[in-house]
Amino acid sequence: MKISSISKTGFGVMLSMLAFSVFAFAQDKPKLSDPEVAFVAVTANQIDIDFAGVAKQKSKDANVIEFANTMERDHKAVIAQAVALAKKLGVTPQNNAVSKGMLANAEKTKKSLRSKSGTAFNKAYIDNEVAYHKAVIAAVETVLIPETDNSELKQLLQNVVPALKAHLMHAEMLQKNYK
Amino acid sequence: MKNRSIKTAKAFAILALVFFLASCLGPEKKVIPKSYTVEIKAMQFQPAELSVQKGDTVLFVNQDMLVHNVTEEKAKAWGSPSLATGESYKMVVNESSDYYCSLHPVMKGKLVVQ
Repeated sequence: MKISSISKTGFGVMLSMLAFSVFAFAQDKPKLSDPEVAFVAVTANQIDIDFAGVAKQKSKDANVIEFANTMERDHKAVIAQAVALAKKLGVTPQNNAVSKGMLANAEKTKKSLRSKSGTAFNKAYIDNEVAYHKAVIAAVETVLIPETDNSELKQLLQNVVPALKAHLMHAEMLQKNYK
Repeated sequence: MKNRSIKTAKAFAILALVFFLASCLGPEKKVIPKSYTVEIKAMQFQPAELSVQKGDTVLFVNQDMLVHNVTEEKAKAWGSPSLATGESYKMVVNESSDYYCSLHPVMKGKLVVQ
């Protein structure tokens, strides 16, 4: 009982850290160049693909696996379009402090997710997807889009927002099953 | 002379009656099926609700950046394959149905046969 509580608290802290890192990034509004914005966008998508990979390894729940497959497919499609656009514009996405912070926190979240199994894992994964998508939507709308100078990159980011919101609604729908 | 005029008038009256009846009893007017388009964009079916006549055709066109499908919601009675960007799926509507994208279950639409 005690261990379970600690474990739940630990994951909650981990979730908060990841969400905080993205929210903090959204609130600090750091000045990012377009190559840095592109890198942050690709990183944000890759992190969710990695979470989906963990879910596909750990979960036996058909709804969770289906959701993970959708996250993997959609975020890969977004990365492919971002990479194609960067190539067209002759821009090399540039690593930066924001994307490094996001990746570091995502590693901690993945470690925590991997330590769980069964219903606890399903709940933790879906809770994380809800928190992560909320944070990413805020970051894209309040930082990445306003910070972007190139109109095509800005348009790509704007096009991604409805998909992120649909993912969030889908995750919230599933979340009701794991309370 | 008078009889001849009456006969002629009668003949015209009969002819007029025949034409009138023929126009009423003629071949049934055929309703030509119409074609409609539902666009898939920004994670929505647009229009989300479409009223059609039985036999009309609906073309679903994926203009979104992600892969989608169109699937009857209640019993998965019909459905499209996965539609990549630019791909489309055509179907003849025979009954009203609610549908959704099974990849993104929050995307929903409705076909209403009037």
